Formats: sequence, C-alpha cells, structure tokens
Amino acid sequence: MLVACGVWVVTAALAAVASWLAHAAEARFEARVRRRVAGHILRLPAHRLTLYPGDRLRRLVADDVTALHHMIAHLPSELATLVVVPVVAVMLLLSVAGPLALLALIPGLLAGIVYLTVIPRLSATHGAQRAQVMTEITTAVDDYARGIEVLRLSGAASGALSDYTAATDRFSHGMVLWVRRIATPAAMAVGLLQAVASFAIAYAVGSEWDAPRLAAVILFSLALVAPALRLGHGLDYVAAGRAAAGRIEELLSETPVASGARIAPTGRAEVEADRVSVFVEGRAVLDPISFRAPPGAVTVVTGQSGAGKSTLLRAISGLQPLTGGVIRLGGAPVDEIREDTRPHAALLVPQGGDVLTGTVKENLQLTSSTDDDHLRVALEQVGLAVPLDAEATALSGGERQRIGLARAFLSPAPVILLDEPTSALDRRSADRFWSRLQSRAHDEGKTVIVVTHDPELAVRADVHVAVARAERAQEGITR
Amino acid sequence: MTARTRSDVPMLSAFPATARRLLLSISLGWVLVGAVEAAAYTGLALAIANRGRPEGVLVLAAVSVIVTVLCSRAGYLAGARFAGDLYRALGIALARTKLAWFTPAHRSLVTQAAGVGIPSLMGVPAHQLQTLILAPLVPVLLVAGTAVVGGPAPASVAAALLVVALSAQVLAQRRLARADAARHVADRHATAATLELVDHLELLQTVAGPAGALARTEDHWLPQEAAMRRTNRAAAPATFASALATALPLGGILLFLTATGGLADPFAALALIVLVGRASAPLDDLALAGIAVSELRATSAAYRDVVTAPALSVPAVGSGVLPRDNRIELRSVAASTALEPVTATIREGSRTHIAGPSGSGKSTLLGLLLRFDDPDIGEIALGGVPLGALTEGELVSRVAYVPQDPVVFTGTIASNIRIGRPEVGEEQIVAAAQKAGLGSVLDRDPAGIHQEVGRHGAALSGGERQRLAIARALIKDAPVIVLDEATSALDETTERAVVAAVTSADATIVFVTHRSPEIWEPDQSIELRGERV
Repeated sequence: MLVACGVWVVTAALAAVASWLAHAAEARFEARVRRRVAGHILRLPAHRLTLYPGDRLRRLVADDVTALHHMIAHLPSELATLVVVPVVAVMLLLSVAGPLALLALIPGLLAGIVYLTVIPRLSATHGAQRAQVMTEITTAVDDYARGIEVLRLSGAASGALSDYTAATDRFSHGMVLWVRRIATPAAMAVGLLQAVASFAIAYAVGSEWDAPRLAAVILFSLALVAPALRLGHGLDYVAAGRAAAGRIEELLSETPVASGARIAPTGRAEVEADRVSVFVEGRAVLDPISFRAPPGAVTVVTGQSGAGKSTLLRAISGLQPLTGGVIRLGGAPVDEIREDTRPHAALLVPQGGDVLTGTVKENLQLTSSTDDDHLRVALEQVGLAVPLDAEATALSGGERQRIGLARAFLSPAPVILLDEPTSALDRRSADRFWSRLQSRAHDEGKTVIVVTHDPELAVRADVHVAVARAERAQEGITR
Repeated sequence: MTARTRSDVPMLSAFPATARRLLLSISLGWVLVGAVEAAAYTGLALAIANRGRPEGVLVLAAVSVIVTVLCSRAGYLAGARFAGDLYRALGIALARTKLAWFTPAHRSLVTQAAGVGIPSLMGVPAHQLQTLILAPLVPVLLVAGTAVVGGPAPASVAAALLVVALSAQVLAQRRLARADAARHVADRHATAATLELVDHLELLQTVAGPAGALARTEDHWLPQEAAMRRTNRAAAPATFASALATALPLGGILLFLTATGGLADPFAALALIVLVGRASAPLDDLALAGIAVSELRATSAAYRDVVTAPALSVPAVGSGVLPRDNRIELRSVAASTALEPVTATIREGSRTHIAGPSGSGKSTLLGLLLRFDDPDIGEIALGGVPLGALTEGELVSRVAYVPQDPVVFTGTIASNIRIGRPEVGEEQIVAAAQKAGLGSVLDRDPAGIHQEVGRHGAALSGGERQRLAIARALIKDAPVIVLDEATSALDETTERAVVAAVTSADATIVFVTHRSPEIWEPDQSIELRGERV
C-alpha cells in the first residue's frame, strides 16, 4: 500500500519535471528561430520582399514559429502517451491476465483505427476546401466592412452581401456534407472510447476468473483508450508544424542583401551610379543608368511611372541588390558597407508617410536620439505644428508624411534619399519644404536625391537625372 | 441591453432562436448519455461484486455506446447547422448596422467573428457541451451508484475524496492561471511588436537597419520570454499537485478499504475501485471547464457585439416621404464630440466648400449628410424631408460619395466603377473613367477598363485609386455629390482636370479639401470652428 502511494508521488513528480524540462528547452529554441526568421526578413532584398505580402510575413514570424513550437513542445509527452504507456500496459495485461485478456483492447484499437485511417481518408479533400471557403468568407466580410459606405451609398450593398451569403452557404453546405460523411465513424469512435465498452468486454472475458486476474483485465483494458483519445484530439499540429518548418526553411533559403565590413562614409559623400541595372526574373525593372549626385546639391530623379525611380533609391540605400553595375557612396560600394552603419550612410525616406504606433517624439527618435529642442526644430523645418507627445497614427496623411520628412533634417547621414516627399503637401508647404531641403544640401554639404513628379519643384534642382522607362510589361511592379 | 441580462444568460442570448433550440436539444441528449453511462458502470460494479453473469453488463454497455454514438453524431450535424445559423444572423445584422459603426476596430471585430469566432463556436454542440455536461454529471451519478453497490459509507468517502481532489485541481489551475496572467499581457505586447516589424518593414529597415529594427522588436520579446519562463516554473508544482489530485480518489478509497477490512471481499473492493476510478476520470476536464466557459463567453460576446450593433431607424419601404427637390438644410446640427452646431442651407446645384482646421468635424459633417449616423442634436433635411424619414433607397438614389480613403475592391477597373451604377454599358464606364482622368491608365494596358487592379487596388497608385473612386461617383449621375479630400493624392494638373469634370456635372457639390478651394469655384463656404483635442 505504501509502495503504491510512493510510486504515485514519484510519478507525479517525474511528470512535473519532464514537462518543465521540455518547455524550457523548447522556449530557448523558439526564441532562436523567431530571431532568425525576423532577422532574415529584415535582410531580404526589396524585390524578393514584394513576393511576401504582409499576411505571409505575419504568418511566418508569428503563426509558423508558434506552430513549430507546439510540435516540438508536445512531442515528448505525445511519445509517452502514444507509445510508452500502451506498450507497458499491454505487456502487464499479457503477463498477469493472459492472451485472452487482449480482447478487452478491441474498442480502443477500433477507435484508434478510425482516427488514424478512416477519418483522415474521408476528410482528405475537406481541409483544403474548407480553408478555401474560409478565405472566401473572410474576404467577402472584409471587403464588405471595408467598403460599406461606398457599397451602401451605391445601393450595391446587397450585391456585396450576397458574396458573403454565397460563401457562408458554401461553408455550411460543405460542412454539412463533410460532417454527414464523417459523423457516423467519428461518433462511433467516441462511443467506443467510453470506458464502459472496454470494461464490459473485460468482464465478459474474466467473469469466471479470480479477483487479481479480473482486476488486471478490467484496469488494463483501457491501455489503448488513452492513446486513442489523444489521436481523437488530432495530430493536426504535427502536420501544421511540419508545414510551418517548410515555409520557414523556404524563407531562410532566400539570399539576403549583401553587406561588407566597410564603415559608412561620414561628412561629404558623392553618390556614383555606374551602369546600374536591376532585373527581376529576367525582366528589367531599372534599365542601365549612370550618373553622379554630388554632395552639396539637390539631385532630382524624374521619369514615368514604373520607370524604376523607387527601385533606384532603394538600390542606393542598399535594400535592393543590383543585377549589373555598381553604386558607390563616398567611394565605397554600397554592398560592402557594414550593415549596421548603412542607415547612417544613406537615409531613405520611403513613399507613403508610414509611422509607427507611438508619439511623434518616439517616431523621430528612431532616426536620432537627440533632445526635444532639436526634434522641434526638425518639425518646424517641415512645417508640422504638433506637440512631440501627440500620437503619430492619429495624424492626417499629410502630417504623417511630414514626420518622415523631418527625419531628413535629423539624420546624420551624408546622403538623404526622398521618394515623392511632397505628394500629400499643398503647394505652399511643398515650396517651403523644398527651400529648406536646398539649404540642407547647399549649406551642410548633404547629398540629397529626390524622386518627384512635381515639375515645378523638379526645375529648382541642381542636378537632373531622367530614368527611362524600362522595357517590360506593366504589371507586377507594385512598389 | 443591460449588463444584468448579459450575465444572466451569458452565452445563449447572442444566438438566434433556432440555434438556441438546437443547443438545448443536444444538451438534453448529453444528459441522457450521462445517465445511461452511469447506469452501465453501476450495473458492471454490481455484476463484479455479486459475480453476476456478463450478458446484462454487455447489453448495458452496448446501450451506452449506442446512445453516445447517436448523440455525438447529432452533435456534429448540429454544429454544422449552428454555424450556418450564426452566419445567416451575422449577414442580416451587417445589412442593417449603421455606417458610423464601421470603425476600423469594429471592422476587425466583424472579420474576427466571421473568420475565427463562428468556426470555433461550431464545436460547441459536439465537444464543449459533451465536456460541460458529462464532466459534472457522471461523478455525481456514480457516487449514487457507489451507494447502491457499497452502501452509504463508501459513497460518502468517495464523495469527500472527489470534492477534495477537484478542489486541489482547481486550486492548482488557478495558481497556474495567475502565474500565466502576466504572460498574456507580455504575449500581446510581443505580438504587437512582431506585427509592427512586419507592417512597417520598409520604415524600420530604412531608419534603423536590420539589427536596429530587430533590437526594437526584441525589447518586447524579452519580457514575454521571461514571463514564459516564470509560467513554466509555476507550472511544474501545479502539474505535480494536479497529478497527485488525479490519483487521490483511487488511493483514498484503497486506504478506506484497507482500513475497514473491505479488501477481505476482493470482488466488492474491485467494484468500488471501478466506480470511484470512473467518477474521478472527468475531474481534470472539470477543473479546466472554467477556462473553456470563459473562452466561449468571450467568443459569443464578441459575436453578440456584432449582431446587436446599432442600426438607424428607417421608414418601411414604400412609406417614406418624397423630397420636393435636392436642397439640403442643416438645422443646428451637432455631434457631441466631433462637431459644433452648424446651421446652413446648401442650394440645389450649388458648390459648397466645407472648411475648417483639422479635427473641426469636416468628415463628421459629410458623414451626417450621408446619414452614416444621426446627429446628436439638430436635423438635416433633403428637399424639406428630414433624412430619418427617407427610405434608404430614396437617399441612396440621390447622393454619390467619394471618401477620403478611396475604397477599391479586388477586380477590374470596370467592376469597380460599375458599383456606382450596375446597369451601365461599357461606353459609359469608359467615358466616366476618361472624365475622372484615368485615360492614361486605360491606355497603358491593352485590357483597358478590364485590367485587373490587384488586391484592394494594389496595382494602382494612390492618385489612380482616387480617380477610380471619382469615376464611380460620376457614373452614378446623382443630384448630390459629396467629396472628402477626394483629390489629395493628385498632382495639380490632374486635379484641375478632374475637378473640372466633377463641377461640370449637373449636381450639388459638397466638398472638403486641404488645398486651395478656388479650382472648385465654390458658391459658398461653411466654416467649421473647433479646436483639435
């Protein structure tokens, strides 16, 4: 009796220690994977990044890492439940009660077979179909909610809602069909897993036996029920973990942007583009171009929509590898500059006025951890009269764009790259900004390169670079 | 809906009546399963104790299995129908919810309810109900069975042991949950940081570089990883306590049998062990039921928030009053937080500039004109009829709207413009596109108006999306056109041409712009005062 109690206590303690060990080791693994995945995404070349839309990246960093984590964290206890416990229990059953007692394992065995073979076969196509319909539902709902004002004011809301209704009907219909197919076998498995089924057979087998044998056949008859129950909860997470591992591997096999050991130039730095071209999958995104953007001057890059102007700026900032030619910043090839010093060599202010959640101050301090007075001066330069502790995401489009522009006045980088900086500014603000930008170049020796579609501003530049439209189809060059 | 009714019927009130009836009948089914299962175990125990024939036991077991199979099966089918009912109710609610409700936060609530909430509720009839009903019912019935088989003494001991074990389990789980609470907060921050990394990738790359950006994200990952380690440390003693608690009823009844000499009749002892063993089996599930219930409650509350979103009252179809013209009168219109009272008249065919500093309520006023919501004070009348007395169809037929953020749907240029007026022919679509300054876009692709615009219009630039939204409004030929910063992303030349096309339409134009309003040749300006908060 005491021995039995001792065994219980020891088993409980072992279970606790094992679970702690598995989770601790796994947490370290997850932390490492997460950092590698995020680090790799941050180093993906710009043109490869376009192949990873936001939801795909989100899935990689968040969901896939978690899926991998679940698979690995649960593996040890799964092995114990699915293999070790049933094997030991069956052996005990055989040795104490004899082979006839194996009959009591039939319900658990049948349920296991249903879960392992029948249900997966019956639902082979269902998973994919269901995922497809779910996407249709969320797309329909998303579109409906996103465009509700337009749709309802157009009297088109019922049409858009009918997309939703059609998708949800398909979902319900597919679900009912699938459930009809698997409901009976799945329900039978649930029924067989009731201990009463195993117990009844065990009693039928051992009703004439002496007490210890009867006890053994009854108590060990559940040897296969626990693992079958586990199977009933599904091994989906194993498949999910493997699929996630595949996707993570695919990401990690992407070549990151190159970097070297050279320190970024400081002071005055000429930007020199020497027969620079970018091809993506055999299509020219930027036709060969050569130019020099001298320090102390504003260089304007013009060209038709889709000519590769933004690609050129990304290439100068080191985010887009070149297919041919070389870009030098103050004599140093971009791809040889040390990665961590690159933002200090050339600051790119991308299109669109993106800001992070947080105050204006927090946003500006990403560029330079200077004091509030300097930050206010930079805001004043771009004509943005908001308090430093204002929430950046609550600002209007034009105001957000100005936060980005203020970075050009804060960054210590000798090269400043601006992509359509005035697209959301009114005429007067745009003119004023341009004058300040010119003084930044002329008085402080910065190399300023601006992509703009505003001809009135472009004529005021010191150096002009025209990008010819690359020879290729129009589609697929978004951003 | 008051907080009281919410807690009285925590989950059910969110669901449509058909779905509620479905859940009720499946619940009764699970009660029957529990009763039959307990009867089968009791029958088995009686047979063991009295060395009875196995036939009766087999029959009882078969009945129990069959009842379980039938109820599970019905539960699965009910789950699928349940989801269908919930989706239908959601669709009906979406169609009548007022437009002002669709804020970004509410939009994601809708997407969440449809994409995650309803599919997870589908498991309620077959899985959650099974656990929630069987886990408490079977132990109680089996204690009664123990009394039948072994008399009141072992039954009271078993009951006491079960209560102690359950309490220990619940305490262990509570402790774990407390240790884990901090982790949930850390988890949310870590997830937010991860999403920030992905959503602002280009910005972070350009201002901080890869290592800097990762360091910023890591600042939020590290506390979460530390919280995870704390949870894991707290989990070890909880796991230990819970494993001991699981074994407690069986160990206790063995001790009881030893102490009272019950082991002298090994068959009677085995019968008791079987009953107590089965009674203690669902304790783990029962201890965790609280978590399952609160998750269910959260999911159904989110669903309810969507299906009970506020709607505006509209007159029944056919009973609305007809406006005599398209003159718009604002009678001391105000919205509590966003708009100071405004009184003005917008004559038919006039061009009205809504002016004012940021935050003075320009967009709010336009929204009220379009009846996204009703004003808190005052009234807006169209052709002498208050907007609330117009049917939705009547209002919709008289206004066209170009929002600040042009909404473009996945599809073609034509399909996007056609939303404005579904019955139009291709020539009219081309004409509207040309008028809105989309000529160069049509020319650059041989597919013309049939070119794909990408997901949510991703293949178009910001300015092109705005022009598309304007084309959609122009084709509608509505007597009132409302434009909210509709040309903010256009260069000056394009803007001039597009504005000329809009103002030449035979319509009342109401517009907001942050640029100079002269090119719109406004007849009047409604100046909103008000400070940014």
